[in-house]
Amino acid sequence: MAGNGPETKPLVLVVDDDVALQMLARASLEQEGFAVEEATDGAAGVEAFSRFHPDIVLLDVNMPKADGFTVCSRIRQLPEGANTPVMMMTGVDDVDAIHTAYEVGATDFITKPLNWVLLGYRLRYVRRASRIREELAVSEAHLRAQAVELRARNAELDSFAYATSHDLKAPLVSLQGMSGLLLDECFQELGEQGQHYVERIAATVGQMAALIGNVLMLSRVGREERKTEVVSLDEVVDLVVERLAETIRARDVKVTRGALGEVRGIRTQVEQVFSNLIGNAVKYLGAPAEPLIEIGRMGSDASVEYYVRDNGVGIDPAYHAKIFEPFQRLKDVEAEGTGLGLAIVKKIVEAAGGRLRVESARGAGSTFFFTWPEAERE
Amino acid sequence: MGQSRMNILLIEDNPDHAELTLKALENGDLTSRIHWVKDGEEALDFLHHRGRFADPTAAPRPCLILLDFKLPKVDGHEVLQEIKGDRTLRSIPVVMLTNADRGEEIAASYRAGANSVVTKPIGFPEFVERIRTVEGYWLRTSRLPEA
Repeated sequence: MAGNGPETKPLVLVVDDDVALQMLARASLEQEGFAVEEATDGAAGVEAFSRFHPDIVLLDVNMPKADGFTVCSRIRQLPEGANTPVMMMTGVDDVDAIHTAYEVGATDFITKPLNWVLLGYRLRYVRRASRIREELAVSEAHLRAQAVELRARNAELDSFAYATSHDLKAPLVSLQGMSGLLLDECFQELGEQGQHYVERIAATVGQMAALIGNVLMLSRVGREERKTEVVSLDEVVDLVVERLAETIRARDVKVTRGALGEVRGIRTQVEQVFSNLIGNAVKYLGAPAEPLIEIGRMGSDASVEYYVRDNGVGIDPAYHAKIFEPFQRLKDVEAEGTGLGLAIVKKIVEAAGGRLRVESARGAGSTFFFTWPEAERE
Repeated sequence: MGQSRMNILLIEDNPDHAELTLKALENGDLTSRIHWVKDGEEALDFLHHRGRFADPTAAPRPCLILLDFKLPKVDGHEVLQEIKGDRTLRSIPVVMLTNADRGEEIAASYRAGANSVVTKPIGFPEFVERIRTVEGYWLRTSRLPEA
């Protein structure tokens, strides 16, 4: 470690009963830029470790009182000794000792008689490796803590949105009720101008209700610990299409559905997914000659994807990432909505462990694909 | 006060919601008489003939109670528990009204003896219709015990 000041020299604890080796080790290691502490038997070695907190331990196998293996495992049991590199010195052909050294937690070994130049390099290498490992552990712990905090914040945000949209529901009931009464009971007295104003208010309150309902929905996905059940997608899609029947007929849209099978999930959420995707398909149809919406599945087993395809206005690939974010609406397409539909779909699909994607281009229609890992195999 | 008039006790702190509920009930085809109190404390005074309801003719025994979840002073859930814990009151059907759709709250209400839990719809026609459905079911479809 060239350039390090004396106070930052890595400290090597040499534990060996051979006094001659101790002297040689000190001379050679100090020359290599290490600081050295010594202990001449096993018990003293453990004690010195606790006292000096060395950066590296150079440990002889054969010693009186406590042998090197015992010392190594005792160091490993100390809270500050769990990760300190321990290099054991063994005889050249002592294969058993090498095995045992690793078993008791030694980091590396070197054979006697020692090659001092090699030892210097090995110690520096071991020291560097252990440092990197420490840094890694620190940043890993940091990351883990951040992930925990992020999850907590997300949950907090969700419950805030949930509580807020909830509290907004009571005044909304009032607003809709009172404007409803105004329309019901005072319509004639209002005059043309007044009627126009009240109708605008009622329409806006309706939009507000839809928005608050969707924020509530979005904040609820993932918070809910409701039980999953086997859901027939065929039934769900037919129900959703039935609900949209009026619009579908009015615009003369042909809707086809392939056999979809079943998935395991929360029924209302599966309904939400299809009702948003099919609803969007209808909404962004534009005016093709033969409007068509196809719902189906493709692939098999683990790679099954469900899709909702339309031949409507399509979406420029530049916007593909954006459309799944809350409140991102395409400005060049006129349509009513809350801007939360696809965000809700994405959150539901991902909470179920699936993925949502889109294939589309301007004027070429859109296909939304999603996977649902808990698909029931027929 | 005619015997045939059925008394409904409405416990609702939100004056708008109370007015809408009263509106929905008065325009219906049933001739029920609605007594409106604004919080849980008043509700218990009404039911126990205490305070300003000491005169029993001012607070006749209701045949149906509409009880909002969130109330000041004494909460809706506590009012429910008190009613269902009282030997003379527990036979009166209690319909809980809520803005929320919280599973835990709903389950807790039924455990405490609520006879029905109804969410308040946001739209005005839906609101009126739901209140009338509740009234019609309890006062016409159901046979209620003699007071």
